Amino acid sequence: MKGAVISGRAGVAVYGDGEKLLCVRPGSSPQVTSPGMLPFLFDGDGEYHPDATLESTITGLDLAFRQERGLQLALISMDPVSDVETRELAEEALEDFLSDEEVRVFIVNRLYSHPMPDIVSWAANKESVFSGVAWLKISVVVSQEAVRLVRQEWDSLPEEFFAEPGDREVLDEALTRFGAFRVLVEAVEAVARGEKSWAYVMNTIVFDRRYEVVANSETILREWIKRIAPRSWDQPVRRSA
Amino acid sequence: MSTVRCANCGTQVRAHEKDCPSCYTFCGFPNVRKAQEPAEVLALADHYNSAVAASAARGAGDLLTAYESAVNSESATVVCRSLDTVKLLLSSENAVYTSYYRQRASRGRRAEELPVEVQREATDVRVFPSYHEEISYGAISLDGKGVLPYGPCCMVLRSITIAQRATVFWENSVDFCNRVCPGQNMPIPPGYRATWQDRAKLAAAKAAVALGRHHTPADFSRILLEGDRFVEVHMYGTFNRDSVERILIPRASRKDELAMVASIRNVIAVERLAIRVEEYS
Repeated sequence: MKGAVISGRAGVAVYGDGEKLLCVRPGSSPQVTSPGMLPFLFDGDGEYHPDATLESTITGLDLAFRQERGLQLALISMDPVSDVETRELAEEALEDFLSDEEVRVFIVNRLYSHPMPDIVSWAANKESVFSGVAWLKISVVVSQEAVRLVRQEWDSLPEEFFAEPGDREVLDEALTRFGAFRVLVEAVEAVARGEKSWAYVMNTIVFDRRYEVVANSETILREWIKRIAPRSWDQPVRRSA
Repeated sequence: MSTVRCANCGTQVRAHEKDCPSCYTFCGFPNVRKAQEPAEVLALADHYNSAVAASAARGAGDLLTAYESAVNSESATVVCRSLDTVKLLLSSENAVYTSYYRQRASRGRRAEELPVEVQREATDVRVFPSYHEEISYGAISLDGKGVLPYGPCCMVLRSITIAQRATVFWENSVDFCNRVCPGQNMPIPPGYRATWQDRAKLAAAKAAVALGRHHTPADFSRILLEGDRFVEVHMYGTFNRDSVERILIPRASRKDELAMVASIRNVIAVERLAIRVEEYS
């Protein structure tokens, strides 16, 4: 293998120079690994970077790991199951992670892609002594109605829009990763305040080439946004976070 | 591939099928049936007898017997994963640890996306023809620590939850096939796999070369498993949090690790799971 496979979720990367394979973990020196260890190192996750160098693999893994770990910390900090001590530990670590813009955007993109399972319990944990964490939690909790609407309309798109089995999941992953769910959640509120038009939002997403990952993606995205747009007028306007 | 006949209706059941296609009677796990084939059992017995004789000739016969006994009575299957993956598994009674191929399918990924997958799948279809997607992997361990390159968090499985459906293999099956039978059409030689109940026999046959008179029982764990050298466990099907009896977690130092470990302990307490947590350095 030449290049690298990186998984932030599994906290591991493998770099190959065509001869040997090196296994990289955050904060550790790369170690030679055998082909037999692959691909189970990745927990079914992993992204291939054919042009990666060893240096870019190490930095890429560092970022991907902090993004995934940051997301887990955010969930722990809001989870009603977490006790006070665990929540405080998670918030303290998360505050550091949020100072990195790429980590913050990654977390927000994911938290805006699915509604929380039990909003009442989660909302009770929205306070924090850490300013970055407090902003994140309040933003997510306040946006839950719009998050639910955007997700619901995506899930209700008929199967016939998708050419191949698995296309829905592939496009869902891209929409989550590059922030389309977040953009639409914010648009539901911004359009209601008269700050944006749906035509603008539609163009922002439909012409974004990062979403051209499956056949028919433009039609799918147009249909999705058309379904959200009229219903969004019913949503309450968020005045401040 | 050998076939069996269904004990209930007599229909021929193919090697990869666990249930009779006619009456749906359970006919045994395919990996276990494979390990029980006479050719496999006889070849393993040959390896074992040769190992015992060689150890005795070197004056290490008693040590090999002690090693076999330790593996038989104290070894368990360990699956290593990241803290994040283990926490997800423990957090819900509905969460199951599925095979790599099932995980890949559920995430909507396509087989050709990762170049590292090609060789593994090519081997797995040879070792488990037509049922490789059902197999989950682990390693046998004496001290609870597993194959750490797969992840720092070691889940020790309750033997009762896997004993009827697990088999063991000489080593990482890809490394084995690359070394012993590299051609895709070359047969995999018999005698390198065993049922769970015969795991100590296979482990002893393998360890005889490494065990010398200078070793003591304190070395057994390291001889059984070190780095990426181990006896591989193949489990048919999934497992869940009730399959786990113990978790070994690396002692945390960073703030995010402390939070993750606290969260795992928290889940175990809240969900009243009968899982012991130990930390290792």
